[in-house]
Amino acid sequence: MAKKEDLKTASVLAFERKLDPSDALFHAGNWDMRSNSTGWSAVAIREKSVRGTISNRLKTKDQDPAKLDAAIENPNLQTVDVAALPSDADTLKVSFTLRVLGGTGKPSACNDADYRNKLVATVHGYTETNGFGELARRYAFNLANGRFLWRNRIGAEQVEVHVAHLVGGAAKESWIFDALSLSLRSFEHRAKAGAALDALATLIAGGLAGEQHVLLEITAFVRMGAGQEVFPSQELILDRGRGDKSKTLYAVGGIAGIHSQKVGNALRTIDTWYDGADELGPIAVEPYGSVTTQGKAYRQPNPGKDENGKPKPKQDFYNLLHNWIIKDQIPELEQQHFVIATLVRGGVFGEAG
Amino acid sequence: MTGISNERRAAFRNAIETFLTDRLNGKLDKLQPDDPKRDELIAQFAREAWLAEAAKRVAWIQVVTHTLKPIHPDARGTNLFCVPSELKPRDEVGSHALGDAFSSDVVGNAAALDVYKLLKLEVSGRSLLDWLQECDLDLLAALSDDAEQAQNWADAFRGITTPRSAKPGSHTLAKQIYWLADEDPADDTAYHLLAPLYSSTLAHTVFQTINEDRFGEAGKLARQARREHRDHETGYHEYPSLAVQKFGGTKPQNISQLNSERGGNNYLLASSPPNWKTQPVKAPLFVDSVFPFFGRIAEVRQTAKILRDFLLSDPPPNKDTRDRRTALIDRLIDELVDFAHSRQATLSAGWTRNLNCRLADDEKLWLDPRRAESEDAADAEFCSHWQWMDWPMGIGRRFGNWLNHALGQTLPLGDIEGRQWRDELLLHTEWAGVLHHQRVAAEAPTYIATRGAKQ
Amino acid sequence: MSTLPHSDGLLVLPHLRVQNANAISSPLTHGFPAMTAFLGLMWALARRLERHDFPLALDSIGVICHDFEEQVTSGSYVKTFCLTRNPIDKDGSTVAIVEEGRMHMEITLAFGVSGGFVRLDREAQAAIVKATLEELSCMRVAGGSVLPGRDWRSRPEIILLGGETEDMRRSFRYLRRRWLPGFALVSRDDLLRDRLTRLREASPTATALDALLDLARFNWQPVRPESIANESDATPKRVEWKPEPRDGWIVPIPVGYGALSELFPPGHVQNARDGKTWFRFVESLYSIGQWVSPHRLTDVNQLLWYATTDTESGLYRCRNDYVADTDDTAPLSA
Repeated sequence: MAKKEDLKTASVLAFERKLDPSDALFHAGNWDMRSNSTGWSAVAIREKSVRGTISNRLKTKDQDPAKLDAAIENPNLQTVDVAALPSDADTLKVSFTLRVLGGTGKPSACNDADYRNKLVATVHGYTETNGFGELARRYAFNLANGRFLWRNRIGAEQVEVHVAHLVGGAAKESWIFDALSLSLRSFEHRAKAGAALDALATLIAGGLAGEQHVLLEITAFVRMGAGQEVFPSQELILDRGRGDKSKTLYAVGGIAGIHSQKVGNALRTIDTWYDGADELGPIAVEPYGSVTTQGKAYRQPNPGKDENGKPKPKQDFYNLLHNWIIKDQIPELEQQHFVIATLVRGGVFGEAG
Repeated sequence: MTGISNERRAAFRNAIETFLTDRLNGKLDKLQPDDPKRDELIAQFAREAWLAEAAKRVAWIQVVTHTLKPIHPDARGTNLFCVPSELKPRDEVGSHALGDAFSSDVVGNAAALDVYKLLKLEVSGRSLLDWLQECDLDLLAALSDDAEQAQNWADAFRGITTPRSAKPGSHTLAKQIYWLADEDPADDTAYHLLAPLYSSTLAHTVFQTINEDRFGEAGKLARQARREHRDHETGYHEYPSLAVQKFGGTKPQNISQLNSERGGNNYLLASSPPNWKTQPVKAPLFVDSVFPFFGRIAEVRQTAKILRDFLLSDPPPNKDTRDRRTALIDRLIDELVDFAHSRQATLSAGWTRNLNCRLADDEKLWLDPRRAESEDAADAEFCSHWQWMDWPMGIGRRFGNWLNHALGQTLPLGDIEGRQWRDELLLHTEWAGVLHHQRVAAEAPTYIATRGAKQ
Repeated sequence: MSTLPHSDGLLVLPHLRVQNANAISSPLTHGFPAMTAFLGLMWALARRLERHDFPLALDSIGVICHDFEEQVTSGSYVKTFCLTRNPIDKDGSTVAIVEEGRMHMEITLAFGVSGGFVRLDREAQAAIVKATLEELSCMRVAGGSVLPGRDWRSRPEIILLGGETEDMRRSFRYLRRRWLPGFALVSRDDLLRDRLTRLREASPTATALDALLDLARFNWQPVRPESIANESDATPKRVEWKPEPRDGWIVPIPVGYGALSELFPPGHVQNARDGKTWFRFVESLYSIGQWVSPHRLTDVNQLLWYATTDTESGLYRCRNDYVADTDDTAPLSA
């Protein structure tokens, strides 16, 4: 191995994601029938015309009263996608599968053998000491609390999450969670869900450690009331043409659904170790702690100074990893969790110039 | 000096000076007549001064054919200039196919694009860059009266096609593929790392061709003629499922010069398979059998005709004849299975409950298998009939009747041969295999004989 | 030119559901992952199987597509890709979106396999098949994730080739039925060659690219009456337009890579993925493929793809030996 001072971050460095969810698909049925939901009907997307109001301020040259009248009389007709439960179904079923893969910390691409060895040894050190217990507990919690339902969880009367461990196509074990009894703000669980959560967490930890190949089937039942609107993912379409639909919802084979990426984002919303987490609660594990919806990054590489003029510690993934691997400055345990969780997330992290 | 043609030299110098004067005037026009910057500009655009600067700035850009940034906009590394005619000729389509008719691209700092524009100036049908690459002495003399200086500048300008870093480089965001160049996939040394670059020059020809086909005048007139059901001297082209990919978002110039000229658009031709689901399958309502419909499928009709003609030719009763007959009947059964599959998979489970479905019971059982999974009490009888498994024999019989009919118009067929077809149909391994699996799935009794069990 | 490696059997992983595979297969094509991705998958799978020490080598791969859903906008003449996220930079600002085309697909993979497994009993062979599916389930297939199988149709199996021709024929019929409905990708380099010859008859400067584009599109033509019998007829005839007939479902496909540079020794190129492998800059090469319904294949070899490498000329090629059968008991069209 090269001398310590020679060690550099590999210029090509990439990791595959280790939590690999499928798209979550929507079906509709009745709460009382959730024990036998195989025949529930798919939730489809339909198009709807809406009259937009003239909300953008008219330009000065358009403030000619005649033009204004014409504009107001010619309302902004738009087509949007919507999805809703049928009038005879009060419950949304959201189902997906989750693969938990082993080999965290083993890069899928790394062009520096010395760096690779040090990295693997470092991650090994972490797992020897901590296992994947803390991370797995949080991932399990995000399955149990139904965070992956996103907007569909809001305002629900009841939410029940069924998690089954699939082996050879059949459920080997399964657990049921009352999602609304579990917080989205913290990972402290109540005694009631404790045993089931622990069992699920142990299974996920085993999968991450590579002890066994773990495949989970997750089915959430959201009782929201007949005919209620439901919220699949929205497609991002650049270059929308004039007259195109202004909102396109995601469907797979005609069934409304949530993108796997969005499910994954919810599952890795376990970072409570950044500056400001007390107020904001958990955010998704991202190298810079970025939250797309807020257009903000909570783990900036140049965090500035605190109120006493002292520089704040750099807590972005790159600096933490660099210090840990290259400088042997072991981060606090909480930041170690964050670094390992970023490796579980996967991505391209090389330092090519 | 020998070999210098004063006339050519003057032509080169004139082209350069015209180019500079035009650019200078463009800038002067934006200034007030008394602006002190005018003199500064005029000095800058003096030929020798401008060329001296240009010879430095040329290092900011590179003329290329193959670029990296379309692979990932943040990737940095080697871009290449590969003259198509100098690439290995191949049967496959690649940049080499363009021959001499190719467009060069430019990457790098857009502030030095004017240098590229100078080098693209055409004199006597070729660009200054082409002449420089041939070490044209007249052009050299046109650059500067000082031969050494001219040589230095020429060297710098010629460098516009060479990679900006002496050492080739890829990037963590670039695509790099392990290709097994030898036998053993487990052997690490058996691979080559292949780094694909984007052929901007090939993409440009494709872009221009497709755009011309889509928006060009000739195509417009032809489409108009078609709409009006008129004859026209030329046709037009349509690219099915064409897609467009964007490079560089709102700043296509950050990717490359040609990308900017394409508005950041990259056309993609479709390789997709046919999507049988998008071809709507109509439920066979109001009929008592689907076989007449099956018989009208082009491939089925053709195969039946081949078989009929073959049998009519009175072939000798030997193995070859038998094999050929078997092969043709196999093909008809294949078509039948394909026909059934698309209906079984596309029509909603329970579609045969429709009161207008007048199919024979066996055909209902055959074409609506998912209804047999129904737990609805009203479907109990259907399920039990399905599981009883008499219906495959029934379908075989109907197939036999249909085929006899299709062939028998000209050729009388005996009962024995008819039975043989039924057997072939019903006991077909795959058929039995599928049924067996379906039966297991539906927990039906498993005493039905399959070909596998018989063998 | 090499030909398809001889195989003793076929290892079939049927009806795999793959989510978010790469739909952009090259700088010029979209709609199905490139064959190079499937060959890469085969090599990566072989490496993973190494640790099981099975007496089985993967020689070649066939792909049958049963269903697919590309994440593109529908409706307009030109499709654009649906994206899932608006990434943001370290300071929270949005960054340029890298368009990644995605598609879901349901495919059957058939590997040509050889080795001592043929002498194992069914049970041992079943164990190989099971382990192979499990390994593959944890891999990326053309960049996508494998979803768990749904029903009996996705049970993997191993089929021995060789033996009596009649048995072979029957077992291949048995197999291809299971692949319905679906379409297998085969190579039609011959069509590209023929089209180029035809174009050159009219225009000697026509290129292989012209031929590729000509095959990739519908060429609409007015259908002219055989002869203009009555030119004095004053009333203009209503002329029908038809696209030039196509020989089946013909598509342009990427078929490998051609060298743009010399082959650099290990460690010579900066930021290469590793410092121990020879490195080369390349570009995609294209040819013509055809999607054929499996029940119209007559021989299992028509299905299989394999790689050939010519280091000297820098050609890295996916090949398939399909030859359009002229026998009338064989396929008519896709």
